[in-house]
Amino acid sequence: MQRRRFISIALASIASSLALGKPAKLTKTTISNQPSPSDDGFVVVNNWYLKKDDLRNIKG
Amino acid sequence: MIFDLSTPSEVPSKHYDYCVCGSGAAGITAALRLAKAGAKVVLLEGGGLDYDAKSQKIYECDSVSMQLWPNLTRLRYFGGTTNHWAGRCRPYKDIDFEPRDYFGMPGWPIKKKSIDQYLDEAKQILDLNGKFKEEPGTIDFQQSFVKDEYQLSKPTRFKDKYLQAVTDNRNIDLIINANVTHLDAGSKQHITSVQVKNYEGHQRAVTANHFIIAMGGIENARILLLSNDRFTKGIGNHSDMVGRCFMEHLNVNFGSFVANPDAWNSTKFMQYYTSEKFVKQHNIGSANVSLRIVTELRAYGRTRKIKEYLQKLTCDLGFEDSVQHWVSFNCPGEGASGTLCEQQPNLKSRVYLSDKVDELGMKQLVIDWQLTETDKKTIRLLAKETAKQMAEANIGRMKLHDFVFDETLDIPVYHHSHHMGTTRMSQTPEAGVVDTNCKVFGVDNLYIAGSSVFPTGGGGNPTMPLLQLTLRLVDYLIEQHKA
Repeated sequence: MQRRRFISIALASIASSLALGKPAKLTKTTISNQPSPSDDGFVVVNNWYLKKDDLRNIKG
Repeated sequence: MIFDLSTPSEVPSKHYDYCVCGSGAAGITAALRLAKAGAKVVLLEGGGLDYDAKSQKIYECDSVSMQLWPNLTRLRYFGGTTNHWAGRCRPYKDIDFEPRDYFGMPGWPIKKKSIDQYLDEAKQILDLNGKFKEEPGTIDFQQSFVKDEYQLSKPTRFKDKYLQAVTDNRNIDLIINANVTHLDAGSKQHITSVQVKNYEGHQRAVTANHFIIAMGGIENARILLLSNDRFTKGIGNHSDMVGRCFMEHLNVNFGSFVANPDAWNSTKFMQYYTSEKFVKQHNIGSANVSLRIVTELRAYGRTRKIKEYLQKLTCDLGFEDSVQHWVSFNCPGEGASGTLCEQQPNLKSRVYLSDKVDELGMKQLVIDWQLTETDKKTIRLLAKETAKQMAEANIGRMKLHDFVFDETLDIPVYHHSHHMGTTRMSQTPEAGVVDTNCKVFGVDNLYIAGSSVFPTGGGGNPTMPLLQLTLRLVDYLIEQHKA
């Protein structure tokens, strides 16, 4: 339950910001656990502080 | 012995070695240590042995700029604010005592090692056992933060623990309902007595060889400013420094986060402290950052039940993000952040006398608590770094509030009720009120105990360090006046 909330809140917010469509289409996507190698691996989307890998996974 | 100035005829007129004004953590500690060394001590308390509205009302003052609620966060009776403190203790670090040029004001003129020897004794006073430890389950951050180490006192209520020790002590006369209204200077370099007043208007002088003001981080400045007959600007105020550089620890909610449950299996709470490298690299204040998983909705005030119902409804419907512009709260299961953040000492952040007077005829204070650009920079950098480190360590993903990115927005800052800096310690009288021994510059027998002497606040709770400083002060006095 908590994990689902973790994913859905983050993705809904990202989706609305990037205009990627309805959040419902993205809820099956997971956020990667892979560590980011450097400070450059971060991005701010709609005030969310994310790894760039997070975005790649959404598109996938 | 204990006496009550409400019955003046029963209060003896005696001359004491030491007069300690204020029976909070610092005052009680000073009185007991002086008495143990054989000194005759009078301990003056403006309130009684329990909370009383008429005593508490003496704390009323106006807040301009940022709101501080100083009449609610302090307690004015025996034991002082320890009667409701939370008990969090952490030792200051070396960097907290180091001068930081970017603060624009001199820092501590003493090294941390000069109070280190009093750490164990301060811990005993506060019922702390063993080592300071990190919060179990806290996951490592990289470089910019280290795991914070701390201990929680019971919390020790000084009234419960020390009232009997004080009243049974043959070397201590505790006088309650004795409001200190003025420090009497016999000459420009010497205090001869303090004026005390009860709530019915009876007033008398209490005489001693030496005086310790331990009335709290705000009131210490007030009594110096009020004593302005022979010293026209107030005692110790030759450089207009009394009341200046008022500091708090900043309590800021950066935003909320969605937690990675794998990281939060074994804890609901993680605590970090800024690394020296991070603080020095960015020229900012030190800070504690706490992350927690919200387990229940909390609301306060008379409409608490209605607020809780509306919050629950909002959380159940998943609308919490939509209402954040009007009201900020976290739903159960969400992550919340908090800080205890050091402020830059700032001459404009200050307390000063008002035109209003209290029931005793004393001028009230105005508190003008202000942030500097360095403070704002500290908060915004901490927020971004915390969010970044959370993602890096895969603890969760944080959504920061708008003020973090938009520097035109005000930062909602709350206080920790840590009042510091109003009688700051300095190497020279130009930049402070007390010298390295907590003696008021220019006066040979007046000393200050408490966090008002802190020239910088560090990123830790002040009670334990202020006790270390008090013990150091008393040892200095005993050594000086052995003969």
